[in-house]
Amino acid sequence: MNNTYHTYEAEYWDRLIERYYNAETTEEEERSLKHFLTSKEGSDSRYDEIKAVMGFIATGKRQHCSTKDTEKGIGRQRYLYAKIAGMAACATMAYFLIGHTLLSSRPTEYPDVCIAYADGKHITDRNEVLSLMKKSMQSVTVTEENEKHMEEQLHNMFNTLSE
Amino acid sequence: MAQRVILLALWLLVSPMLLAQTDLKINELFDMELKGAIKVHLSGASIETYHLSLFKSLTVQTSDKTSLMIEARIEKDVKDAFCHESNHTNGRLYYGLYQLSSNKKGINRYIFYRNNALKKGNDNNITLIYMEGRADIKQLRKTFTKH
Repeated sequence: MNNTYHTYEAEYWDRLIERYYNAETTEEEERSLKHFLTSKEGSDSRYDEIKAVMGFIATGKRQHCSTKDTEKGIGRQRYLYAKIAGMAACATMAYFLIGHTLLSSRPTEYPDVCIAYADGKHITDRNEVLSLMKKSMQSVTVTEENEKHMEEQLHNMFNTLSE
Repeated sequence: MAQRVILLALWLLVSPMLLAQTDLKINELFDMELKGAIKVHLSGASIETYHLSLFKSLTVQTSDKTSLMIEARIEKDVKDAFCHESNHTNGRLYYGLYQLSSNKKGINRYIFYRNNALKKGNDNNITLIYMEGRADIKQLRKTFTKH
């Protein structure tokens, strides 16, 4: 598996990272990129920023398997994964079909959640979270019209002061 | 083979219900580890009084790379959306209030965005908001516009 990364130049990964930032990567490419970033070749400090963005932590590196370990029993593994995936798909569909029937009359489909993250801390106090919600809404609903109005108000204020 | 076809058909039937929110590119942003970001997640009873069922916001100090990354994802998601209001500065999205197609239950979906770094005198923050609910745009403006 390590040899695979040597065949791709650093330029390939740089291009893929740029495409990731531009939201142009497919799911398969993102998986490939994540796998590369946990490899030995991806441990270069130039990839620190993309790792931070993709939410990697150091333990992700330990999950990267060596070539020797993965080659053994890969056929058996694939069969098992296919079987487990099939069973999981059936269980998921049954769950959602039943759940959809039960939940279809509810006005809201989401559980009650009230949480914020700021400065590395979790905030669960309802008033604080709602305050952050209002702040973020107010910051985006200041439109050009409102800004012009505010500028006019400031202009008038300064004119009054200078009189 | 027949079993796989049946499974696929059932999955295609169910998946649209699941994808109302999960098909959006901006969802990746709410899960990202962005330095100094403030994230808010409200759903259910917490925000019923606002006639909303889901509210997610992300406020982050902008770097050019971060803002371009966010803009790229927003542009993909709002391609077929109705734009209530937007403004561009030097070819970049300064702010936008978009309404996406409603889901099967007639629930409205919105993406609101603003990049303050594009105008002098503002703070350097980008704010991205995703909402679902029965509230229409007028109600949202009335509720949240600062007086």
